[in-house]
Amino acid sequence: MNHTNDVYDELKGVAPILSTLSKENHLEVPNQYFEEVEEKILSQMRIYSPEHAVLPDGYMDVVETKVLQKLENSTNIHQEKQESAKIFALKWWKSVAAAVILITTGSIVMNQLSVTNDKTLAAEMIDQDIYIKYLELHPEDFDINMMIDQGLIEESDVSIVNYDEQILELLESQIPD
Amino acid sequence: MGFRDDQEILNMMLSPASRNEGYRHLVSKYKEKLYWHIRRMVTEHEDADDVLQNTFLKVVKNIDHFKSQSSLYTWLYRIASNESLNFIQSRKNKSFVSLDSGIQYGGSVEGNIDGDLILNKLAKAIESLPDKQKLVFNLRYYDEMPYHSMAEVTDTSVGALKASYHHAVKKIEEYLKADI
Repeated sequence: MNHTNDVYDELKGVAPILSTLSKENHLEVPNQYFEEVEEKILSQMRIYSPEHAVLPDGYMDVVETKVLQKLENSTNIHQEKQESAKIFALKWWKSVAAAVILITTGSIVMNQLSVTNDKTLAAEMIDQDIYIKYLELHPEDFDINMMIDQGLIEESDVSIVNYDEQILELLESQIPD
Repeated sequence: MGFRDDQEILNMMLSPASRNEGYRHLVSKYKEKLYWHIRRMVTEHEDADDVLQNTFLKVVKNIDHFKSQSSLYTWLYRIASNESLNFIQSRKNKSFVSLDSGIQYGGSVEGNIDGDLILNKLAKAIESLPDKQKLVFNLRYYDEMPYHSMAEVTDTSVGALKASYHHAVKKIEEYLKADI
């Protein structure tokens, strides 16, 4: 297989060796693979096909009753919980003791979390500041960096120019002796 | 047998009455193209076979959400590319794959050893590219896809794709030039 004109024209200037290589396929595939895989794929496709996601007969007729039954059950549970709460209120001194323990432990944990969050937030703010500063100084690098981040190119693909040094040199050259 | 038009295949797949026939035309038309696209990405036949089947299953599961703004062809390549990249990523997470386990060509070019050698070098050069740049190179070099279609497949701007391809080509050419 040879290149079409578009692809060939694009290649011949920058890659004379690559542009002359044949694109004929030399990778090996088991015999009859494409015939066999077609049947395998089709049988899987039929299983996952939307018509297999059909509802059982009469489902819509019974679903309403089922939902109402569940609602009724959950109401009963709620009432039972209210009864339990009344019993619990009688044992007030146990509740007070538990509350004191909870508040003490909770405040220690919250303090620790707050310190950690402050550190993370500060680190994020510093990173963001550096990032914004960098973008201000190197607006022309933004697309290149994005491409590097996305894995479309590597850092070594582009020669990084130090613009700061260039600007400094220019300023120094304009200062009279 | 000629292949059906993409729109015709799509219409068949969207109608319950002709869905199975639509699937058959779709698989028949695209199985080889997608297989080779996936194989160039994941290298091994067994892996390509798995990813190809997953690609078609994704098509079935998402056919009702297919937006006609893109073509069926670019949508299929998009799914196949994403499935390949996900597979490569999960393989990297599981174990280290050395460059030497990459593509080895079984045949020869015009029956000479030099041809074999240069094709193996090309395979290794492509293998050394970052995954997304490899995808861009394969879509353009092997599938000869126009940049606007590649933009739909990869969700990347045409400018970025041209730059990515240009750098990939330069790196591969340097690799091929070495020791010739």
